[in-house]
Amino acid sequence: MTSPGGTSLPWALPSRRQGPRGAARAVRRETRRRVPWALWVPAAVAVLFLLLPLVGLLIRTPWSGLPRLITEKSVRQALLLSLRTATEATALSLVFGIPLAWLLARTRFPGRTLLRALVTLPLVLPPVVGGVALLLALGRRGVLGERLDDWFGITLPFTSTGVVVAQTFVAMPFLVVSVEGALNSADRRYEDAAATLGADPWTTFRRVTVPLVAPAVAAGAALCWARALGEFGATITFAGNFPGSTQTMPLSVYLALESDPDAAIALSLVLLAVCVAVLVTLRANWLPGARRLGGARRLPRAGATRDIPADGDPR
Amino acid sequence: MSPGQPESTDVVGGTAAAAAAAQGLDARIAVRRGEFVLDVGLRVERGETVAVLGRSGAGKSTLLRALAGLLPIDEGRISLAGEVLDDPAERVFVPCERRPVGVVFQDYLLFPHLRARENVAFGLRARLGLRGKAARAQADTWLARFGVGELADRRPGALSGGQGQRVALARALATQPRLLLLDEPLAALDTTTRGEVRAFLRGVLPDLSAPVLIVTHDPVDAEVLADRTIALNAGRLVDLAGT
Repeated sequence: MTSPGGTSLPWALPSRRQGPRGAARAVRRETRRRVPWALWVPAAVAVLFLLLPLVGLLIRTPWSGLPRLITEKSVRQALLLSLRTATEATALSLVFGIPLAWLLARTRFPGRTLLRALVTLPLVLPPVVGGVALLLALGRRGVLGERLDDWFGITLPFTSTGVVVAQTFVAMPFLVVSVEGALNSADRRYEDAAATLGADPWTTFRRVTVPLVAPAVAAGAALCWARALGEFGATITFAGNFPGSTQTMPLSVYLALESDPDAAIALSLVLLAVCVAVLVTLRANWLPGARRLGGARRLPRAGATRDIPADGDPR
Repeated sequence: MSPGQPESTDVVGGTAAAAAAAQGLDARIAVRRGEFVLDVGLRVERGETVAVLGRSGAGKSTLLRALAGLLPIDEGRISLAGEVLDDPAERVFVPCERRPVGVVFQDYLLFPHLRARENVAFGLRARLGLRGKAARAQADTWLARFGVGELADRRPGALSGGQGQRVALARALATQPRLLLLDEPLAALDTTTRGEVRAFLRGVLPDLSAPVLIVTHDPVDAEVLADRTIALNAGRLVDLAGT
């Protein structure tokens, strides 16, 4: 899933600039000069295909009834539940996923490759299958779920916590893969430097390793959150569809489509707006920082030894 | 929380030579990496600056990593100020983070996400156990001592090569090492900055009480900065007649 040299994921942030800005611009100008039609025609079709459904959604939105539709109690309930569970799932993914990514990237043990394949399986597994598997493991009669119920009185399926479990199961691999790719391509000599300054491995992890891959952590968390927000199959299978406790936005969109199509459109629009808002916030808050880090990570070479670099600290 | 000397005050040998070396670095290092073998013995007295001269591939960085504790040696013994840091025969290995050794890396490796002040404070916190304000105040003092006090709020990306070198030296020395290792301290600089940094280092290094080991490929740097030069070729020390 990841190449040893770096991240091969389409969503991975560029960790460093390719070269001096002038050179990059020259290359770009050249490619703009002659784009083969065999490339731009399919690309244009792809753009149309990706944007048309969204345009359709906007065209068919019942704008006049919108305020009423999206302020309904059931909608507010579903939206709040979705936002809460997706955020909790992302938090869980960060707490457990970053250490897992570190383990996969920084340690060598037998079966590591197999382990990586297994933990990233939910990326390709149909979510419904994930939901069934969760039921068999954590359901009331499940392998572990039975013990949880007997010993601690903890029931996961068909509860809000179950929603979080289902979303975490499906979304955590996105974070793991993103962070692991960044750890693989990060310069490990910074960790050596931290050790020579007296930092034990845990301090080094917290204060050097993680901050250096912060852009990838942010990107991974955003993907993870978006995936959790849109999670449908595993949620409905493992947690059911109870308004107020397990009926998340995607579930209520699907149900509304049968009873009240206008409501379904309105709900979809709300989800779309939330996603766009998150993307915009991330771009504004994280990507400039990512770029600065990436730039600073390059080695100070002869050409870079000027007193006031062009892209100096914005402060 | 002073730089630790846990297991060994009893290992100092009885001879006069060992007593003299007790203040400095006394190392015999053998490291095998596939075909390559590094096998050197070296001694650096307190207050002395020694340059290790060698081409790339001669084993300079292996030597440096072994002394810093980033690489365990296969045979031999490293002792510093009377403390054994690495002795495979005795099963002694003090890990890098507990060795009183400061390193200035070739391209400095200043943490890009931390300002200059926080880069220096990092070691003060980790090695000396200083906290918050005290660490920052002392970091400022170190930066000022090396003439970069006004750059404390800059991130490494906004420092020139010469400025980065000074911050890196402040960061390494702030941890009060008993041995300072400089890895190609001038290689990353252009010719103008080179002269300036060389003069700066020549002014600073003699004042250090700790032994200093400079690894370089440039005979001029070795000549200017060090009291004594030893040459490394294919993993072994060679005689430098007349130096």
